[in-house]
Amino acid sequence: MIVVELSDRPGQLARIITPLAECGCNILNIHHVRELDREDTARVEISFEADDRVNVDTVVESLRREGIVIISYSPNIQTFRETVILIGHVFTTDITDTIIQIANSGIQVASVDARITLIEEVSSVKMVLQSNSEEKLSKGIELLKQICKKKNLYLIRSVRE
Amino acid sequence: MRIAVIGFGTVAKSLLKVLAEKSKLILDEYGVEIKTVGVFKKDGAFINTNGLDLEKIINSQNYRSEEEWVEAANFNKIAGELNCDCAVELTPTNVETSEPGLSHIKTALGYGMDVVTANKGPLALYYPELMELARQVKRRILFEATVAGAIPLFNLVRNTLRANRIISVKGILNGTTNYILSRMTSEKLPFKTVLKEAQRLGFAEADPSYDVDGIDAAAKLVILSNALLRKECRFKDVNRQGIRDITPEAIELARKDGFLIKHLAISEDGVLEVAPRLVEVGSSFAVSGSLNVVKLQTDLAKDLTLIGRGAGGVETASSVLNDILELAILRR
Ligand SMILES: NC(=O)c1ccc[n+]([C@@H]2O[C@H](COP(=O)([O-])OP(=O)(O)OC[C@H]3O[C@@H](n4cnc5c(N)ncnc54)[C@H](OP(=O)(O)O)[C@@H]3O)[C@@H](O)[C@H]2O)c1
Repeated sequence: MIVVELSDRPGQLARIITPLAECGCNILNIHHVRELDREDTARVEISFEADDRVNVDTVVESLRREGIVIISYSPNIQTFRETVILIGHVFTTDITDTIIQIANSGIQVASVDARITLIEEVSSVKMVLQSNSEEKLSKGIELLKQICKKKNLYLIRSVRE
Repeated sequence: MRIAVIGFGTVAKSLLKVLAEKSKLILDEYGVEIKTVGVFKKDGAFINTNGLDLEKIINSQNYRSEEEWVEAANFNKIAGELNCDCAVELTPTNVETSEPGLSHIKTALGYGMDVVTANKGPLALYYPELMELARQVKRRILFEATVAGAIPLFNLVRNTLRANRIISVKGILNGTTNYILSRMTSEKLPFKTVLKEAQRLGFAEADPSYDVDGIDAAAKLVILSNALLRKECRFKDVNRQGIRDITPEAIELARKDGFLIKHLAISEDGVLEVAPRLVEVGSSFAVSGSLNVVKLQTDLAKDLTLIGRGAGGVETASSVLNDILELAILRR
């Protein structure tokens, strides 16, 4: 995964796609991280996959040659994500605690989105969990299952095709 | 081949109708003649050891007054007198005791009959025992119609995916829950409202728990796992989560990221689960209405996805009839 900074003008995304393709990378996801934006620039997180022969440093180098500002990158090429939805008394059972417990298990809660009815009623929360290892991600999901059981929340996982 | 049909409900009546309509085609194409010598209800049976007139009994206004009606005739008691090659078990599914289907199947095997069934109960509870019993008496139990109605799964794997290992099975195995979730998504309505509508339209039972709590899908998943994944398992081995708690808000949240909520049955890595899952819009699981879908992951043929009708009298009869013909052709 690489986070880059792009100026807020049209056609900027195209500048990153070509060098990635030339390095043999297959783009999995491009995520505009609005929370990280600075004025006039957009920060974009790119997840991609490639076979073992491709080195992340080479990929980063080719982006830099294109004049693209690299904010950060992780040495592992692949990111594993799973979107989940929780239904129930998500707030009265302390959603912050739920998120912190997951984050403490070493996986990232990449985004959170909620539909709140009344605080005391049943609400829904969507989360994207993310990790650079598939194993860690499944462990995180297992933990989430246990939390949901304890807090009596209804968990909807994604299916792997 | 001489058959006895146990049950005279939706599937059985469709089967008898199709048998009557297609008898010439069946004889011409496959060289077999299917003779129905008994049709059993709870309170008796139509019996004619020379073969019943199927049209007549389907259209009968008052079955008890029919000449061939035998009051209180019970399959388990008179099976031996029928001189029958195959019993077609079409009584209601029961996942607690699996009766009356279980006794019917055991009786049939005991008298040296092959068995064709659409009834999930006996296989969901006693798959290993029943198959062992069939092996001992050198007879076969075919059950294509038990899972995903009209979709050929067991026949597909048995006859056209020979030597493939089935790695996983995932699918939507219950049309009613798929209909309810599809309506909740398209109309943004709560579960209870859509359930009532489905009941009014006759798509859901008065007691909907069988469908919406995943009992039906779990029974089917057990049969799939035993038969295709060669995993000895039973109904109680399934982790089961129904769809009653799903809200329109959750569906909306899913939609925002390009997901649908579907009730999936999954057998993979030794784990059996029936639960709602997020599936990508445009994925093979994104089928709407009351359709069923099954995705097989195999070692040689790789992935195969089948979509079709999971229920309906004639649709289910199609699978039952194919099983009957497979057995008839073997005996020819
Ligand atoms: N309907 C579908 O679309 C569908 C699809 C796939 C699988 N199936 C399975 O196929 C089976 C039949 O379904 P269906 O919809 O046809 O059911 P149904 O309409 O409820 O008919 C059940 C029939 O079984 C008879 N029966 C009950 N107990 C009996 C007994 N002890 N001895 C003899 N007959 C008995 C009933 O007799 P009476 O006539 O005397 O009441 C009735 O005729 C079920 O196991 C179901 O799960 C159905």
